[in-house]
Amino acid sequence: MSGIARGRLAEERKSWRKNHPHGFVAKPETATDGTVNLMVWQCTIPGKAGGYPTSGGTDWEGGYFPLTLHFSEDYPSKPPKCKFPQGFFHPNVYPSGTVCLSILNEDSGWRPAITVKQILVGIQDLLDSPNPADPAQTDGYQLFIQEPAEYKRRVKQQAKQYPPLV
Amino acid sequence: MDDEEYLSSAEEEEDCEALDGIESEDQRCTSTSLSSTKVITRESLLAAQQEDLRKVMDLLTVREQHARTLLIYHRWDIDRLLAAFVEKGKERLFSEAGVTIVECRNSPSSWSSSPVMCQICMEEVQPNLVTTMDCGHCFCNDCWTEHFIIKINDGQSKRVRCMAHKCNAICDEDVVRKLVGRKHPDIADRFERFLLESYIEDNKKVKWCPSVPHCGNAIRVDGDAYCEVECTCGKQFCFNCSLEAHSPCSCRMWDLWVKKCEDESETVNWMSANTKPCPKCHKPVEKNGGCNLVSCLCGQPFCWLCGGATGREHTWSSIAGHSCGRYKEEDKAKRAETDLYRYMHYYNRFKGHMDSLKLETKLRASIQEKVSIVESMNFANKDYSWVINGLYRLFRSRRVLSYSYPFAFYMFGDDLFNDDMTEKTREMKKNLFEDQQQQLESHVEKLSGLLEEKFDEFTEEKIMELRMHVINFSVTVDRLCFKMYECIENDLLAPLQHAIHNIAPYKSKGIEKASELPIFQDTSASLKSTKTHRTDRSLLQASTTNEKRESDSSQPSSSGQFPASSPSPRKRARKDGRRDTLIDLNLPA
Repeated sequence: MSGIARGRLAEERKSWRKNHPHGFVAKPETATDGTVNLMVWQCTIPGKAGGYPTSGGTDWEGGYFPLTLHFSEDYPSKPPKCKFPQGFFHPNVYPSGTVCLSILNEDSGWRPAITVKQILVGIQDLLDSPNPADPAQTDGYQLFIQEPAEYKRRVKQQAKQYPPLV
Repeated sequence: MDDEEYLSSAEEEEDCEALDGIESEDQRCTSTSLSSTKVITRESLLAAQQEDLRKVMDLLTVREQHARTLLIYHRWDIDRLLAAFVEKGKERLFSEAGVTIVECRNSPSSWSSSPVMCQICMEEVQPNLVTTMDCGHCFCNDCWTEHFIIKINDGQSKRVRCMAHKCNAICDEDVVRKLVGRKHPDIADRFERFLLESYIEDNKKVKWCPSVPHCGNAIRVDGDAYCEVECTCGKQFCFNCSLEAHSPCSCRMWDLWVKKCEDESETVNWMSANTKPCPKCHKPVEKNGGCNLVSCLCGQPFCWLCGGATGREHTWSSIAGHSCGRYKEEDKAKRAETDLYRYMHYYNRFKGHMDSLKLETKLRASIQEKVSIVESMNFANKDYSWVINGLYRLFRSRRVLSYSYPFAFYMFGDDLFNDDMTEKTREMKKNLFEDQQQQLESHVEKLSGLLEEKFDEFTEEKIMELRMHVINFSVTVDRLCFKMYECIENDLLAPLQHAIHNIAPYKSKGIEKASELPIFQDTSASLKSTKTHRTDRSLLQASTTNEKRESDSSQPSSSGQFPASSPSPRKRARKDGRRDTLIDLNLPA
């Protein structure tokens, strides 16, 4: 079956370049010889700033978190795998860095019509509103449930760890 | 019990008639479709499903695909579906199940002739190459097809959802058929099969026949799930647990028993062959040589021959003050039972009756031989159905008797109902039950003995006498079985507080044979119509009423109306096929 994955990704790329949410980065991987691999995208998700006018930012604000999207030939029938760096601190991120989110699960929320933009915005939302019903790591989950103060400190510390790339 | 007395000559004729009546009814019952147990074959699966689909289509005025989606979501339980309809209203019922119908369609295809952008492949597509689902979402046919194929290959045929973000709608099966069928007819067939088999896989009232190798049939029971059925392939099983028919054991008891027998069988065989329990500490003792006076580790000496406690003084040939050549029943009774010996007691009886049953099946051939011999003689009465009927009665009651032992093992043991009965009630109930069991046992053995008589060498007069006895005992055995089930259901299982155990009701005529589901004439028509878009509802209804009338007459219980109240699982109304009026004639005065 000649998949539509590449065609769709090329179009996604085009539409992203035309218009994308502020602070986000999403681009296909480029090898050292200059060839572009549409199947892997390097992205950056900014921690959410507060509402406008500034009603105080979230603890994630100031962080620009690197995320890699791995698409398969079955895309968009199947969702891409979305990974933060290994050991990323968040209740719904596996120790490997893989994000656990309903719209990224092909058995529940994934729909072929979901765009890269929707994925990235969805993950940005997840950062500041974790889903305690679906823990993916013990560290983040336990602190989130039991020690909110320490959880907050760790989140802020992590945000500092990922400053904007200028 | 004095069996000879209760049959006066006046009653005798009635007896025979009564019994003949029962047996001829037996045949009638299996041939007509009065039973609520149906075999669903590959051929009748569609018809069976159509019946339910139509009910829902009529009641909720929906198209077939939506009826199917609703039924799959509610596991083909029409009553539950209608209850949800009343409780939640149409809108919520539909949206939960994934039925979304957008009334006004403003899909691009309907008003535009310019190319449409498919949001999946992001390509411009001619408007005749896109499809809009009932939910209003429109994508190109290639993307839909790809999506369907991936879902079908993932085994998700029954719930292929729309491709749009946050859309919960289940895709129109006709669209799936049409689009997938164009490119991959084999995958479309698979989709069709999944949909059909959903009627079996997702349906509480239908189960695959557990035969191995599989006969391909499924059984539908419209009444109580606690029943025993026979598939047309001959396999008999408990509908509730799909294991072999095991009443009067409950499913839980039987499950435990089968596992226990597997675990213990070798131990038990070895122990019963090689050990005896010490009369004092009850530990099994193995004799490793020497004379017949053995000493347990606890110090208690006992006689190896009878297991009774003795003194120490003995010679090779005798033990002082002990003689056990005489058979004494009480010795056994005195022997306290350890768990294992208790199990062995029940197991040996269970197994014993099973073995007898196996031997008795061989009787059938020899009896038929004898019957043909006497038939060739010129006796006045040439009807020998009583022998065969007696033999079937023997088989059925032997089965009951056999399974009554694992029942008793759990009913009066510590495994299941320890908190449910005081020691005193347990003892009382045990005695009550065992009285009945013993009575049944002795009658079954006598019936067995009668059927082994060499009646082919008898005079006519003696044959008539034997006939009377066989009929007599058959009726009594039937009645005793019935009473034992009644005792188990009403006196033993019903009062339990902590556990709910149900058993299949007693069937005097043996395990119910499931009847073939009739395939209606219009089935082929509806098959075709499912393959094409169907909008003509009036045509459909005409054929539905036709079928409904027929199906209603065969199943008075499933009228498709709202459920009044389902009977509580604990206290079930007894509705077996036993004809009490006929049996009563034969009760002892």
